[in-house]
Amino acid sequence: MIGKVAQIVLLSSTLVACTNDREIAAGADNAPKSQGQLVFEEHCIACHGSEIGNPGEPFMPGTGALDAKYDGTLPAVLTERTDLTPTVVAYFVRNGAGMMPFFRKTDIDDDELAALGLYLSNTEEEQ
Amino acid sequence: MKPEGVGQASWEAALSAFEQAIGSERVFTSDEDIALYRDAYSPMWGEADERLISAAVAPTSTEEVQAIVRTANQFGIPIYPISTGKNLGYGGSAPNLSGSVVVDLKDMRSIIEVDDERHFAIVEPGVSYFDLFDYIQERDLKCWIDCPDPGWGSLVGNALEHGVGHTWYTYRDHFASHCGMEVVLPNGDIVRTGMGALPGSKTWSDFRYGFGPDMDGIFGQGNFGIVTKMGFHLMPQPDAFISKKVRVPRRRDIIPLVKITNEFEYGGILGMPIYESPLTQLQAAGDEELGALMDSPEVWHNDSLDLLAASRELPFWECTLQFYGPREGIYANFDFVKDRILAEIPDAEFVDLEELQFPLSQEEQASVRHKVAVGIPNLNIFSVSARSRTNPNPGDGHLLFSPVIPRTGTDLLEAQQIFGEALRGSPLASLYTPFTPPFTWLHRCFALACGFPISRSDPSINAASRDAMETVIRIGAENGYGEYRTPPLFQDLVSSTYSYNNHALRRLTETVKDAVDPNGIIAAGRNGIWPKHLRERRQ
Amino acid sequence: MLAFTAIPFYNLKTEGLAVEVAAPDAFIVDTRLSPIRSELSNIVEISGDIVEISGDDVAPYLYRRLVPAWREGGFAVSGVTGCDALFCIEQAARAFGLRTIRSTPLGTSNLRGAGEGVPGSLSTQSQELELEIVSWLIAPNAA
Repeated sequence: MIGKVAQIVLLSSTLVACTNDREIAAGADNAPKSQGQLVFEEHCIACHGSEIGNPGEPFMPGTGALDAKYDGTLPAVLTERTDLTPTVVAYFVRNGAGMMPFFRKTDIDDDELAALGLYLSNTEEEQ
Repeated sequence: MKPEGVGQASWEAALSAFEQAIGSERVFTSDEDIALYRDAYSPMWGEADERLISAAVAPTSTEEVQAIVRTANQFGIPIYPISTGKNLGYGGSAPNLSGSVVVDLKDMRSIIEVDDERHFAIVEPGVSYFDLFDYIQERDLKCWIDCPDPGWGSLVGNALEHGVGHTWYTYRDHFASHCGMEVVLPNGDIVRTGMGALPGSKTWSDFRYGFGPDMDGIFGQGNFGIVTKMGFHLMPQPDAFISKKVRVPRRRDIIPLVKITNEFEYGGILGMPIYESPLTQLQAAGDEELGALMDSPEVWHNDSLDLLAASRELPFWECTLQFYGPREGIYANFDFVKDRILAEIPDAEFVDLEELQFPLSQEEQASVRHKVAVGIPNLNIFSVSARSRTNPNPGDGHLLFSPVIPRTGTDLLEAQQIFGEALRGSPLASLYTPFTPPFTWLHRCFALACGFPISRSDPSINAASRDAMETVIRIGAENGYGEYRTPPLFQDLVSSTYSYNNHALRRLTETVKDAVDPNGIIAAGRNGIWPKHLRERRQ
Repeated sequence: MLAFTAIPFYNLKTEGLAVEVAAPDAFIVDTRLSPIRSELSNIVEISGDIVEISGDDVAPYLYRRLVPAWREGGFAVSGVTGCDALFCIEQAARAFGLRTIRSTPLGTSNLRGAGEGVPGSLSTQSQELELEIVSWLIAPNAA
């Protein structure tokens, strides 16, 4: 498979642990980041992060879009959602939504996409 | 789907040869995989003429690219190279010729060298602006990238498209700031241009011309080979950056303002000036008084909008002035520019925007107001047209029209009216108004660019955008404004407007195309350059 | 551990399909529901042209069968799946003028992915999620 991001030991007890020989990235507190988090930070965070956007924009583009769409009924920041599933994450990554284009397998391969789905659907545990 | 004109046996043999060369997992033929190579902002989304591919291949080395090209030649397979495939608004990852095989270079992602003493980088096509920025940051190198608004694009792909950025003028014309290429030619041969043609050269990324004719130009917006490495000159990290905003009250104040900023930008004092008008926000908010004034054809000549702006205590124009260099020096430069502006526009006002001193910490980078002005890649530009509290019904993309007009205020005002009146009566007429600001990415001219809306659910929106696009392309050409870049659907039309001496330029490029790519396998139709066997397809 | 918390008073077997569609062209059964298939069969009529797919990897069937069929026009599809699979299919269906005519929650269950599936498909990531199970029908809007 086209694998670009390391697979690591995952946090949830129901998940399969796997390792390979690539270096594991460390988070700010030196805890290893999951593959899914690395994928999120490489491909998603520029639009779906929690920082400010353009001059005058309180949000990054994706977070701003979801803030407007959900109007407080769901968190605008994807990593704060607790209702996402891998299938739904995969749908948006491979089909896009509005201005968000879809991602090819050379951007995010299927293994990375699955890891991203796990990361975004297990945010409670990973916090 | 298989490419038109290719027999089933040849197609299967070609796919098998691709798989042998690069591995079956890197050859994409399933319906769900090739759907990922549609143009997400296609103005023909879901319609019969949408450009679709037959397969995609993803090599990881120059040698694999050579093998793909040789296979394509052997079996007559049209191939279409993409870098990171993010050319949104200009065609995305879809080809001109449906049925082509995309050569997806995203996984050729090596940063070969970055030197912050001579200030250059050599990269492969899959390297994005984010990638190079991170590389430089991790090693604390004292040089900057220059990036376009979306940072996920490829340095190589963007430069080959004549793409542009936001920092100092010598760097923001990305093709002009490149230095040296490695190219796989249509016959599978490798060529290195400039000083790279000298084995063991020590200056491939320093001196662009090498010896003899500069062949690099044909690979920019061309279809004469697949670029596998490219060098770029990088801006040294400056001591400081300041940005100030000047506000002028009247529409015609743009004339002296542009004259002054041109002088100082071309004279090496000022960075890229950014022009805006607060009246665009009034328009976006559906201001009724503004709307009523806009209904009159006299709005182009009278002072009604000046009076409206004044009544709302708004300037007509704003221009962000950006300075790079030693802190004391750039403040002195700003004072000089300010005095010149005030001498010509005494009621101009100035506002402080930002002062930065480099290097920036990660936290400081995150809070920079206009990140691309200091080479920090991001995707914030998508906020302009994505869903938001002020834009609850966004489109699904945009179709970019980018005419090149002379960089004077007089020409700006004239071009606004020409394009505005060309679209009068159309639902898209609001895109060109007396307060439409010009873009200054092209540092010797203006691009009076706009984005027509795209929908992935309503074909009527796309039809209206296509009609508007054709109208403005034609009207623009009639008035001496050519497009600098356009999506595949319009490349034949735009190419046809460059018609001096019975399309002599196109005849020249076709002569070169027939010599360099006799089987016409690479990017057929790109920017109006069709191989001989497909030339009758030109629209 | 598999738990199926059904909505107690609902019995779909006695309910007819939406009047717009006499019989769907395909009936999708989510293979993640296999451990509780017999229980589901007591409340949902699973019949017709049955297609079994893993609800955590709908893309192959979506792109290879449904999208081409929808492009031709028509092709109503029914199913009993995790709600996430329905979400993906109905999003894609909208582009072709089809709508979810009926969507009936049946209860929740811990669903496990298909595990050792096709290399590279999402099924290789084995995970258990608590998901709502739905019975649904997607068809062209009634005129």
